[in-house]
Amino acid sequence: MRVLTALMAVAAGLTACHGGVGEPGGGPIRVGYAGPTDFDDLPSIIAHNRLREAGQAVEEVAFSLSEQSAEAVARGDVAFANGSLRTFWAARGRGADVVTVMTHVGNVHRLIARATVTGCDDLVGRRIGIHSEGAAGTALLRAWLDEECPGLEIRTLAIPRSENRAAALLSGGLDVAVVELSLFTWLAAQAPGEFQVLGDFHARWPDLQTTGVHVHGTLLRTQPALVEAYLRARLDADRAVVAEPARLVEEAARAIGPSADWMRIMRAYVDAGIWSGDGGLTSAAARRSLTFLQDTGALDPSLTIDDVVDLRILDRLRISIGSESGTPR
Amino acid sequence: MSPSGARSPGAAATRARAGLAGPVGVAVVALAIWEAGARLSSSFLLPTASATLTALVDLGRTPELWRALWISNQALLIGWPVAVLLGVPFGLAIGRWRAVDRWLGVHLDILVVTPKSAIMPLIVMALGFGLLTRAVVVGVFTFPVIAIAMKDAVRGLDSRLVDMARAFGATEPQVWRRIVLPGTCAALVTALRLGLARAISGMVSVELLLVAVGIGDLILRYQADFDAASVYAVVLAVAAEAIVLLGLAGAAERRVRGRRALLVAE
Repeated sequence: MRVLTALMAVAAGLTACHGGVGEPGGGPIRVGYAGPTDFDDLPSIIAHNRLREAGQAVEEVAFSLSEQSAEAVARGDVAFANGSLRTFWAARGRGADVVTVMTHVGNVHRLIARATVTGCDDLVGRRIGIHSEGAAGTALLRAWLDEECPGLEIRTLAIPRSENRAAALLSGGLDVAVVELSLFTWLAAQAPGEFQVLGDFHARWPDLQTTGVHVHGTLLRTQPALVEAYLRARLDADRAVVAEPARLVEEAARAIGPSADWMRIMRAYVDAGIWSGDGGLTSAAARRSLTFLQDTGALDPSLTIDDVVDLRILDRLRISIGSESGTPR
Repeated sequence: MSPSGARSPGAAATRARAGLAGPVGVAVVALAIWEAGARLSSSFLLPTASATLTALVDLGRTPELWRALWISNQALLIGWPVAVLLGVPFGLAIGRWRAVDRWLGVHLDILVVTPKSAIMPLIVMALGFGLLTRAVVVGVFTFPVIAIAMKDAVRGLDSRLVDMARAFGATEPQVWRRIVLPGTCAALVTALRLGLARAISGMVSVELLLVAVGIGDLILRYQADFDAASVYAVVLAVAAEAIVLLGLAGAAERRVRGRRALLVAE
């Protein structure tokens, strides 16, 4: 029933839209991703499939970089995008018309090290692989080091894309790197016992969010019904995978390809509580995440929470969903 | 104008100024269009030309840009000469000897058509993330261009010259010394110039895609901060370096071609 309501709202929103941002003439909803589909994206893919089954076209657009995805939302080339809060908020700081409306996936960044690297002393003289100096994962790394290894001077090596850092770990080019949980699980399967989680950033700062669902600001202002319908579909999909995580494995095989790793990765994500089923982002979490990124120098300190986040629709949906009966479909 | 006058420093300077007028004029028009377009679009992603030039001047005053250029150019300074040392004899050999071409030519073609970005991760996995890797990537970008230019230069030689030399009993080393090497001298300079352009492209590509150091690191950092003016400024700095290097190579090419024309005339 909720899905039907959501789809009707999407249809109504699109019908009302004449040449709207990203959906000219009521065309497909375009959703941007930073890279090809990976495990983190699966609930969103499930939501899109449900929308398609109900007759609403959804087009997933894979960009090479998170920055390109942010640019596309800012221009209105895509209506929604999933990606790093840091990237989209940095774009907002430059005047981009983007607003964050919910969490895409929980904090999946982990500091991974070879099994022989067990503490701060072992990090001395080693290069730590990071995405880039300004990335959220790097901010988390530096904050973790400040707490765990105060005063330790580290050497970083910027290697764009988590897959490349994972390959570097596997080939022996690196001993320590920040990678995503799914890639750590893959690494652990490739070389059992060789790698370990040295820093679990999610466990250390459970209230910190790192990725979000972002929307073109004009779309949010002019077509809130459409945005609400889309977010409802996303929330329903999140709740569905929380209630029945095996769906992730099925969807991974379908959307990414068959692999023996999906079950292991699914278990790791469930154990870490990566999806909450309530959209993740709260006012407090958003404020905490913004302050964290500003304190670490990753974001312009003049940005305010009202500049980057609008949780009115998500909060309304939470209340609405909370009052509805039944389990997620 | 007397012959001696034509070679005076004043005349040379006049010619140089006249030669620069065209490119500078085009650049000015392009900058004006850029400035107007950026102001009209008012996109935060498209900086104005004036903002970019200001960012370039600001960057130029900091050691950051020069350090980045130095780090990046280390790969160029190693990769390009090595590619030249390997590519020139390789190209000459497959151009001169059909048997060598049959064995190795197809591999050169494969190297030419294979997207270099697809090879880069393999090189990184094999060699790690150091300077050697970046130099090898620069070499991989450069080598095929140089080899093919040299191969074509040999194939383009007048076969009657070789036949004539053979008829008069010239040995293979003599054919190389008297016909092949002098005949491909101008093409060599062209090959070096083309290879240099590809080397610069490889130098930046590997830093953007795999090992973010030097210029690539600067671009990625500014890109992550959506500091478009600085991104464009760094790109302009690389373009300026390329123009200077290619200009030097072009001058060398003209010099060699001039000497060759003189020799032919004599």
